[in-house]
Amino acid sequence: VIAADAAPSSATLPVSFLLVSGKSVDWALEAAAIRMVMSPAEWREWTEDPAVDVAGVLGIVKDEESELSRILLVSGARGEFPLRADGQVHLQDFFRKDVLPLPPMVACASGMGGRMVEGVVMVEGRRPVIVVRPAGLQTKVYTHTP
Amino acid sequence: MHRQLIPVLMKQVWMALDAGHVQEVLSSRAWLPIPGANSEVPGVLSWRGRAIAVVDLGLLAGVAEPLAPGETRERTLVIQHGPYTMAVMVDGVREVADVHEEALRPIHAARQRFAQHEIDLNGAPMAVLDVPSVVSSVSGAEAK
Repeated sequence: VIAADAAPSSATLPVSFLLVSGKSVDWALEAAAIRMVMSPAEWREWTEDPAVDVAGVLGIVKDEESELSRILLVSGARGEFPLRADGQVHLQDFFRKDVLPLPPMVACASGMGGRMVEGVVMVEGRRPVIVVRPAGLQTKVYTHTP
Repeated sequence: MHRQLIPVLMKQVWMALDAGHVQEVLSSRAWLPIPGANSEVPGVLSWRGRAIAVVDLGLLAGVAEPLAPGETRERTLVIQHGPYTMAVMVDGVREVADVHEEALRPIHAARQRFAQHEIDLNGAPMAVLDVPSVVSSVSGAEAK
């Protein structure tokens, strides 16, 4: 009997994330959820709707809007919604297995924060990354007062 | 009956924990603050391929200010109780002391929260913290 090669599990396949390197923290969002990336000026030409600053929504130290800032049009369960990302933006592949889920003790204690965070990537020798969940962000965005 | 206690230093205060709960003593470790987390469980660190909760024992015991984002201490203890694994940052650790139950006294001078007993170790009185109560406090689980 010749055994067929086992298909690689999803945990060992790389997934593309949009990584935002802010001054205080790096965060990432799965690239598949992002419909469009544009500058704040382009966004303002298109609509007057404000794009919500992700750092503010997450409750981390805010970075100011700069020439590095980008507007991400993100797809969520309730349609598309705009987020402002302040910092260097680039695509980065992570293995799904490297996105470590939050321990329940932290997820519960973080309340809404726990629902917005899918997990963390902590690799030796590089800044840790908070991986955010589009659905959790969208819920927060709709209840957020800038 | 004997108990094995591990003395830990938090700021200026020595306290003891049951060594049976301590999985590993690591050097200073960086940790990641999690958005929205409360000050008692402010973040996570990576241990053996998973993210474990960072518990601010100094704050919980009432002997230290809350850990600031990015603040580390000399040693990191990995503590386990039931299904809960957590990291506790301390300023020092001494070797495990094998003590007789009779050496444990009721709380008299110790003011730390979660203090269960007092004991003289290495010539100094210190509180013996009840790890299950600490875990219960931060996890909402019932202490056993």
